[in-house]
Amino acid sequence: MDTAAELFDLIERLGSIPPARVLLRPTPGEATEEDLLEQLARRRICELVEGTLVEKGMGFQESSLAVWLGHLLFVEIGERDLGIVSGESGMMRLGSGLVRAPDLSFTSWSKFPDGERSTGPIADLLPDLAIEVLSASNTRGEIRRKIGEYFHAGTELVWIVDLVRRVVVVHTAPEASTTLTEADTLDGANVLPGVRIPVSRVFQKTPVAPKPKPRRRKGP
Amino acid sequence: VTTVVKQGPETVGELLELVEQLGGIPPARVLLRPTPGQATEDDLLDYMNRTGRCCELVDNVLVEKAMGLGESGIASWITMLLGAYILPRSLGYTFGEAGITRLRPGTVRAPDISFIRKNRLPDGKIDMTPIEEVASDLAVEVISAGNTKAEIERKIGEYFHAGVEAVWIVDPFRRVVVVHTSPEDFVTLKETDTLEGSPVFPGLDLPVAQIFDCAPVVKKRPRKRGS
Repeated sequence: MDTAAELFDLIERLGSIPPARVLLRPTPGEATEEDLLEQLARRRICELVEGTLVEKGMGFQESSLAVWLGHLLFVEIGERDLGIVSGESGMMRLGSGLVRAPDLSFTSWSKFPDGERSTGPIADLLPDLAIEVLSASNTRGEIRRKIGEYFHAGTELVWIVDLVRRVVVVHTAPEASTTLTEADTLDGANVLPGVRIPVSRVFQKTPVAPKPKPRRRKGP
Repeated sequence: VTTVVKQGPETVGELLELVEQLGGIPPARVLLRPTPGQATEDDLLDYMNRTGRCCELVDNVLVEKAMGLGESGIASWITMLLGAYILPRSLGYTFGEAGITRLRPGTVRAPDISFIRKNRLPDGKIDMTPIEEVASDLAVEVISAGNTKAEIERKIGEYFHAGVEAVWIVDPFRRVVVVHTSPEDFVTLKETDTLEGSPVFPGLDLPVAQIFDCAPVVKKRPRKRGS
């Protein structure tokens, strides 16, 4: 990228995210995994997209819910040694120049090459289940892009947790989704057989948010 | 004089704020390498040598000059007209659009025309250093389609802060010359007026119509933003 004008297109491709989340150093398009790790060492959790460092939209409540949901997953998994669960700085290489860190993810041991169970700081792993907890700075376009990337990389199941609407949107493909309310139950399906978590349990510790302002509809 | 390297913007959001501070200029003119806020005079010279394009350094950000054939021609025409006053008096030298001058550490501008009195130059000769360190006595800017009003205002402020005595803003679209003797003090001269010339060229008495003799009447300049 040569001029600031190209950044506008980049921001749009990234899903029209707030420009404050896109780092300028190294120059967008030229960032590497080393740069990503350097940011992590400074406790700045970023993802690498199109060779660009993009700060994760994070917040206390989102983080807390992810830990709670991780706990619920482990309770359901019980003593079964199925795989590994990682949190919001668990970075995974989804493609070249593309490293994402789902807020929570599950990867079965079978995904590890040669039965090895250790990884470098950036795992060469494709999560079987990727979970994103929406935060205020996430845009719809950003999440849509992320979901597409996960499935393209081989993820089978994506859960999008919406704290404000108190729903979990379950994706089995980029365009195939079911929205579960607090009356419904999450199912681990083929990824985590037998894992069943009522959505009401997921939001059990989340205070009910003040009602969001109604969205203005575009067009007629 | 040392070049102060400022920290500069860290995110695209901060960069967009900076572009606003530069006068809302088209972002295509703001170069991303070296990282805005960290560019030096050497980077400026390197860029100009490499690309042959005129560029300025503003608070350690490389910003390409908005240029065009027409503006360049008008600037040359004005230089010729001024020659009639300068040459017989052996007053000094004019520099063209690549006449890059350090206005303060980290800021190097290139007015479309600058004039420096002979007696302010070492041995009364043109300096062969890559960047002029003597602030010009007069700076002339010919407005291009890519210039914004805020950008020009900012430039005018920088020139006077560096010690420039007078700034002429030549607007071929409105066919006026705005003569500044300070950032706030200016007169707008129309084609029926005469450019008197003081304080730098007292008694110049150049009809504004003569300045625009060379320029066809053009419609209101296009305003493009975000491109």
